[in-house]
Parts: sequence; structure tokens; C-alpha cells
Amino acid sequence: MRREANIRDLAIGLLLLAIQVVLLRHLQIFGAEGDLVLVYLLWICTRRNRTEAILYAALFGLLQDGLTDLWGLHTFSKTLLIFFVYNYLNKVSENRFLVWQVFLIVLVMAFFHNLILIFLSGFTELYSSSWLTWSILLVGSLYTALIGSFLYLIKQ
Amino acid sequence: MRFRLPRITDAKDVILTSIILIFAVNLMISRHDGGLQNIRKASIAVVSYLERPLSTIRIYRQALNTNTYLQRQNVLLQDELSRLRSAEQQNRILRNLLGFRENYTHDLTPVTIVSKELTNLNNTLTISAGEQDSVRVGMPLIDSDGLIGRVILTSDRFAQVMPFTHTLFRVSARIQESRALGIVSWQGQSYQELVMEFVPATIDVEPGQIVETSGFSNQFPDNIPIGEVTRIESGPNIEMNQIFIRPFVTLHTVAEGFVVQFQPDTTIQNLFLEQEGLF
Repeated sequence: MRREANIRDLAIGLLLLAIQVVLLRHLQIFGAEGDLVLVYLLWICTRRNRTEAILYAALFGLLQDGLTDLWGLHTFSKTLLIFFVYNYLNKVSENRFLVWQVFLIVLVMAFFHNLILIFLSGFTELYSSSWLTWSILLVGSLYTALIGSFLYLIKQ
Repeated sequence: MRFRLPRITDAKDVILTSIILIFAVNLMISRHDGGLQNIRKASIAVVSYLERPLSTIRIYRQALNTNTYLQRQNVLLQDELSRLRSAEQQNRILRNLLGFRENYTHDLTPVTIVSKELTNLNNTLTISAGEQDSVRVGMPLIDSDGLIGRVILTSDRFAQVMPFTHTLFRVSARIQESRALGIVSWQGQSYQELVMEFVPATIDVEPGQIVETSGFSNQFPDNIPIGEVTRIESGPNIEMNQIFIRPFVTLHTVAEGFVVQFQPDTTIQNLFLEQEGLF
């Protein structure tokens, strides 16, 4: 039973990762893109224990890194975010949320995730300096929050 | 307030997270090292494979954009082509007029037709020259193709012309080949047909022959082309033929012309008056 759930969650994750890499990567708004993998990991937090959520974050962060040639960046930021927000997300997941509440939660999570990303890219000086910091931080977070709210609506 | 000690599971997560983060940092630093190159190549291959179906859509979108761009360009080029054709046409007409002017014996005043009133009731043209340009009542208006009309009214800067398609218009004409004389007028039916009357039936007239001004009326200089014969019919008088002429000038398209600086010979006019006085 548990194995089936693992396979199903992994398959969903891989599908969303493929959509992220193939589609969303090209649908940029002001240079920023939505992060479907992050939305998936936030959803995983509501279904799995902390260790599993961290492992999922590491795995899908690494895969996203591999497919976008940003080695280590997503692995680091997603793992760190999930580590810190897991307890909160897992706790509040017992409640039923309105769409705007989901939007707000995903927005805050995406904001912190993008903040870590920007910090890392600046700190390591490994990645392109043409990254539009504010666009990624604000537009990218809003974009991700919109995607999250939309998926929440569909799920409902 | 109670202080809660960290549980073993928390420590496990902390250790796990730390290991992952160190691994991630290591990945970032060793990104350009040789060890990752093969994995990077493989990831590029995977992404290419994933993106292949989308490339068709991208090409299609690009084609649509290109199509829109080309359509816009097509409209602009059509517009430009149209203007060039118009300019070429005008250039040809002006060259004809220039050549005609250089070869013509009378002084010519170039004019443009600023207004046309071709309503059948009272057909008139207004030209861009008046008394200031030495244009006087009675002077003929012509272009390189032939006769257009006659000035009937003048102001300082403009003049009104009675074209040949006016029921009051008359011109003394002759057939070029036979030199037979007659009077050309318009019957008010077709803009493409004038009638030459008073040509004796004994004179052999064929379609295609050229009709020009005779100069006999002392109103127009001679040798101004009017049109060509299209058909011949018997007139009301059995001894006279009616000769139908297609005018060389198309009034609906003519835009420029010359006023011929021609004044009736006063000696001839005086002789007419004297003759009328005798009888």
C-alpha cells in the first residue's frame, strides 16, 4: 500500500517536473518563471513525514538542477525550505483553506525559496548575473502562488 | 513555559538536511569540474528529448508570427507599389506633355485640372490658370492626346473650360485623310462618342481615320487631334453623312493639360463682320 503511494507520488512529481522543465521554463513573465516543483513539494509536506519530505525535496531539487543545469541551487534551496517549513505546513494541513489562504501560504513559501535562490546565486557567483533579482523575487513568487492556487482549486 | 528537548527524529532530520545541503554546496562549487560533465551532457540529452514535441509547437508559433509580419509587410509593399505605379503613370503623362510642348508651334500654358463637373447637365472643368497666366476666354485646352475643350470663363487664378462633352460645344474639324470638313459636337449620350456632321455622303470615310481641328472657324488652331472615326451613318439629309468619332482624350482620367495661347485673327473677324454688313 505504502509502496504504491510512493510510486504514485513519485510519478506525479516526475510529471510535474517534466511540465516545469518543458513548458513553464518557457512561459516566463518579466523573466521570472513559476515553480511547479516547489508547489508539489509543499503538497508533499501535507502527506508525508518530515524525513520523507526532506528526501523528496532533495531528490526533486537535484533532478530540477540536472535538467536546468543549475547544479546544487534547487537542491539546496528546496531542502532548506522544506526543513524549516515542514512543521508548520504539516500542522496547518489539517485545516480546510480558502483559495486566497492557499495563495498566501504558497506566496510566502515561494518568496523565501526565491530569496534563498538569489542569495545562493549571488554568494557562489557561479550563475548568470543577469538574473532579474526583483522580478524573480516578486513576480516569480506571485506566479508560483497563482499556480499553487489554481492546482488547489482543481483538486477541490 | 516548558522547554522541549529535541527528539531523536529531529536530530535525524537535521543531520540528513545538513548532509544534503553540504552535498548541494559541493555540487555548486564543483559544477565546472570534470566529474559532472558527463552528467551534464546526459541531462542536456534528456531535456532535448523532452522538449522535442514542443519544438513543433514553437516552430508553428514562430511561423504564425512570421506570417503576421509578412502580411503586414505585404500591405506596406502593396501600398508602396501602388504609389510607385501612380508616380510612373504621372511621370509618363508629364513626359508626353513635355515632348508635346517642345514640338508645338503655339505658346502653351501648362495647367492642372483642379475640378471636374461631368454630370451630363452642365459639364465643365476648372483649371489652375487664369488671367494672371494670360489665359483668355476662347482659348483651347489640349493635352498630348488631343483636344479637351475651350475656356469659357476666367478669373485671376482659375478658369472654367467647356469640354467637348458639352451640348453647346462645336468645333470645325476635318478628316485627316480626305480633308473633308464638318462640325464636331456632342449629342449628350456617351462620353466616348462625338458626332461629325455636314460631311458629304460622296466622300469616302473609313473607320479608324483621324479627325482633327480644321482651323477654319477662327476659334481653334488647326491640326489638334480630336479623335478617330468609329462608324458612319446616313444623316437626316440624304446627301450628308453622320460620322461618329471616339475622342482621344478621356475626360474622366485627364488631370493635366495646356492652354493654347491662341487668339482669333482679328482681320478674319473684321472680314466676317464686313460681310455680314453687306447683306
